[in-house]
Amino acid sequence: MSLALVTLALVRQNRWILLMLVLWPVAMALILLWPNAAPDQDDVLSVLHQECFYALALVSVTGASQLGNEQRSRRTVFVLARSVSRAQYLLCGLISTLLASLTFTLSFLSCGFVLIRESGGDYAAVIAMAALQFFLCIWFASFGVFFSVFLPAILAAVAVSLCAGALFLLGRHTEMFGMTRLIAEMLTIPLNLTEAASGISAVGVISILGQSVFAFLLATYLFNRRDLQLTEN
Amino acid sequence: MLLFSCDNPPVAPALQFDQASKRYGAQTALNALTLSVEPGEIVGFLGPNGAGKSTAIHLAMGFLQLSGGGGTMLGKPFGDAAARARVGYLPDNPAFFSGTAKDAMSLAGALNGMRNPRLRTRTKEMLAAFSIDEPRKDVRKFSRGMQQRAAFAAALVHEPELLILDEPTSALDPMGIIEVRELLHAVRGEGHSVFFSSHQLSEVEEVCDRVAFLRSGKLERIGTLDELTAGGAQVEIMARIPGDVTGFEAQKMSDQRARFLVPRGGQRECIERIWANGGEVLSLTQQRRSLEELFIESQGFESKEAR
Repeated sequence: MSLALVTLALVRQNRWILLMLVLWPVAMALILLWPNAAPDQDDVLSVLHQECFYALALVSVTGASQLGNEQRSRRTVFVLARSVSRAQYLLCGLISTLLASLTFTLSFLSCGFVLIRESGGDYAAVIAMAALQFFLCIWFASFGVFFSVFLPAILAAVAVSLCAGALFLLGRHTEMFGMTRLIAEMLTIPLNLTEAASGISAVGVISILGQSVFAFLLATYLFNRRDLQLTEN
Repeated sequence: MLLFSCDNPPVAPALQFDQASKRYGAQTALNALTLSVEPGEIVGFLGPNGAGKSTAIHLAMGFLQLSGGGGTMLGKPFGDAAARARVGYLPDNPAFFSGTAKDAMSLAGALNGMRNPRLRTRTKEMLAAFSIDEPRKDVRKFSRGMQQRAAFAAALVHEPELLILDEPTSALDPMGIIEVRELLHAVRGEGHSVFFSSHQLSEVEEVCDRVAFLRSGKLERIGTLDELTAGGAQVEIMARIPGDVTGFEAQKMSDQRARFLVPRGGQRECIERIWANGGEVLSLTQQRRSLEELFIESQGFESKEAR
């Protein structure tokens, strides 16, 4: 119950960002559809890829900045002065970031369907892209929360990007990290993909989710042992 | 067979600091604070800005980690989430999530495990008790004073056993201060404990059972008001005397009455001189120190008058 209430409060606090997330894919779809109703498939693919990366950037910034913002505004005190543990609070932050990401993904999905209908292609391609985007968002959000425990928002967001970049490059040689697989898959999905699941590597997803859980548990461990960064301290 | 008598079971302090310390690098914000708040007691925490009052409160609430020592709140270690459900905390600078005052109160109660219909009833009671006339207005758009009232109401909505208040009257108008005073009396009447920091000495004097003085992170003194204010430096002698008493200045009043303020230890000589001059001693009173004098004394600086 408490988890749901705190998550809801955090989501409500960021409702304008959520609205922007919903409107971004809509605006991009309108731009493509405006001159003529049948946009070029290459243009559609390019916009969908761009939106996928936009989602990752946005979720890492949101995840990296939320804890700092809440502490600076002292709303953290409102929650942690009550019967809510730090681990629960951090989980609420992660869930609210993922809800923002999910909102974007749903908007991406619905606008993607419209674009596919107008340009030709298979809906499975958009579903696969949305799924990959969301799995990657879980990783970016978890690592954003992890770095935000001990770094200021901007540095935390940069650290998430560097970490993702490092894992991506490392994975190209060892093929051990889900990051490389999922990003590569997201960028190579053809618009005529017939079955969404065939475009997603299960190993990659499990690897990404495992890393996310590890990052979150480590974040909780560290957050439990740190002072809150309230303004007067 | 009973191993222990249950007639007088030992009662754990509501709040206990045990050599609690907080350091930031080389700077010591709180130095081995040992202090307890007993059940049903109101303890005032005095000290200038930067003395460590908020640091002590933040340690108790678990916002900061102890650098040394320990402490318990309602029998649980500092920072225990379950114990916080029984504590009402008012921060010095309250912050709210977006929403109405009513929402804020409901959220505060729900996060401490309260459920409807009790939560709804308590929310209404608190809104009325703190004269929050616009419960549907965005609480973040309230004035500072009204926000403090709303935060106070949110701290009390779940009927806490222990109240921890950080500067509770700092943003309140005189009516608000009187309301808080009455409320603290009522809370004590119900057997709850209160630990609060304040700059308002009259406030502390009015409601506290015990007062603690903090200076540069160190507890300077602690005691009941009677203990602390007794033993003033002067003795007041009221006498009826026709003339003057050499060596002692008197404040002349009607009816040949005079008021002498003499240093402690000098009263015997003054009385003897009054008698020698044919006077009569009417009363002898040990002057009590005011909390303000104590505060100034404990902070190690002199008032302008003293200088």
